[in-house]
Amino acid sequence: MKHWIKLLPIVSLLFMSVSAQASDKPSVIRFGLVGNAYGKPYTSGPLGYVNEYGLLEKEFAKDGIKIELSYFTGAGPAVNEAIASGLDDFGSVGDLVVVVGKSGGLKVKYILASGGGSNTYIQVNPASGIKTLKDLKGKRIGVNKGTYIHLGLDRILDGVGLKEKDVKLVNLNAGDANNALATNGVDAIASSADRPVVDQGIAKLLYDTRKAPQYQSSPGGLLVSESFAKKYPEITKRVVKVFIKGQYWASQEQNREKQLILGLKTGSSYKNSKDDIADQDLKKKYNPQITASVEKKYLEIEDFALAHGIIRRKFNLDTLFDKSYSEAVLKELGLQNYWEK
Amino acid sequence: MIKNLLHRFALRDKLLALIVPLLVLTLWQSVLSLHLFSELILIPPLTLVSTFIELASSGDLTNNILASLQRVITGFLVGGSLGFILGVVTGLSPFMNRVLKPLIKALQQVPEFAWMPLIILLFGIDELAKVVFVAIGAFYPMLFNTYQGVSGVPKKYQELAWVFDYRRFSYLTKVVIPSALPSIITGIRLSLGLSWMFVVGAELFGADAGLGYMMTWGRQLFQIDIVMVGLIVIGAIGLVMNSLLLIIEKRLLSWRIAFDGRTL
Repeated sequence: MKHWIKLLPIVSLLFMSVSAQASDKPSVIRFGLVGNAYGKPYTSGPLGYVNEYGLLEKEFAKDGIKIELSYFTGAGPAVNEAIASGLDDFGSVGDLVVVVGKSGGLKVKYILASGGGSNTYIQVNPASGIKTLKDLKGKRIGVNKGTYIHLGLDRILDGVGLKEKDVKLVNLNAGDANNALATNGVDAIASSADRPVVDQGIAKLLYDTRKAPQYQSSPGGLLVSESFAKKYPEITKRVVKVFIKGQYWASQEQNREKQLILGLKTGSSYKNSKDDIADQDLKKKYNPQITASVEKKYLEIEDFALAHGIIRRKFNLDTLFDKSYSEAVLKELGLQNYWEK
Repeated sequence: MIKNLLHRFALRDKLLALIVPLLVLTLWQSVLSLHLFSELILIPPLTLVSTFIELASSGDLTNNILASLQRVITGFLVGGSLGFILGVVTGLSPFMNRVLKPLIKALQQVPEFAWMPLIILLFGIDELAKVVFVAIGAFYPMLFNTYQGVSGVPKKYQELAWVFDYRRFSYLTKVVIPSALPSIITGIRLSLGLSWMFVVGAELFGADAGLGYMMTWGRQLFQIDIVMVGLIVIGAIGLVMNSLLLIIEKRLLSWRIAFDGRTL
């Protein structure tokens, strides 16, 4: 018994050192991702590549850190909720989701720009009598609120002198929106490139932003919860490194076709996805740097969202961005001059 | 003396009713102070007060309450009327009761939200679908309470009606309905209460106005304070509705005290 008591301080010290070591790294890193439009647990683009080849799992396997990927059918707004309630450490979301989350007081940092130029498509039911964008006035439009498509729609409406209050917005996810459009539940929907109801000849494509970059999305971002980044800065940097590797792969023209093939897993149409990015420069699209242009775009989104009642209060954009991780990783990978600044 | 005592008890009851909400508020604030939940998810009470004022002064809250009330009243009138008619028919006719009861009982086992996909396929996501959803909620309590009241009309009343040589319609209006009234009124109260609960569910999907819509909107745009204000307003309106119906029920049935000496 006395021997045990003598050993107690040593055991305590050992235990403390193990605890200290354990706090250097998490046992699991949790990511909130936007599943594709139909809720399948796949993504396209750089993240599709990262997931397909298990790059995150490989990066952290040697540390015994597990990777948890949650795909939310509720899109970006659900990712914000998951981070707010401490269920996710990282979130990969679209531009409006970032602004909405930060305006709501979400304690996150935007540490990587991750793919902009996403298009918004306006599909209409022929029975609605809508022939032009101005005809949308007073009509019921299905859209997944709080997403980049919601912002795209508001900007398109703004372009023809309409406000959100001039139409009736109905909150619907992609699958429900398609059903509602087909059954006359709504007059129009705003969506991503997927348009199965149009492909089946039931609805018509009224407008899309492929030729209107001013209405395309700004770069979405990789968000990290402030507490995680503060506690595990090195781990955060390694996560950024994996994501940048994915963006480097996706930025190369020779991988365009491979990206489209990977995107098939999400359930999206090959043709529509191909047409969607046909005119886009992949290197520009997947630029991971938080440039002055990105910051300016977010300032514009914040002002637009406030003016259009999407957010209720402004926030300081300086508290959003943290370039330190991406700058360090780009230097480490020798890619600091690969993308345009 | 007795009056004073009664007053004292009434006051005590009112004070007791305040204790639980106060405890909930204290627990709410303690949970926030201990950082057990993020303030972004469990919004501080004072923030909710300012959000409530903001929504009320902008007119958003009133518009959404009115949109929900309109759906509740329509759905209640449709579902409640159907429930009432079927309740009378099955209550009066043992044959119809035997025929319809198994089907009604089987359909009652289907959870309300399980109807949603079928309702959407049949009626789309328009106003009609929402009214049907509310009507389903209103239907069952009205049906069962009406049935209970009508089938429970004492035999002596039936004999009396036979003595007075009442025709079918007079028997229904002068004997059956008045006798079943307490049960029918309970049915109306429960039916309206459930309609109010179901309207929120109906509006969570594909609405462009209403309290359920307001809450979904708040959730999508990460404005959880709006979601919580919505919850509180729904609870408060439900409570007011129930209290008003209880008062009406007491007034309408005051004759029972004089009639058979029983208080309600």
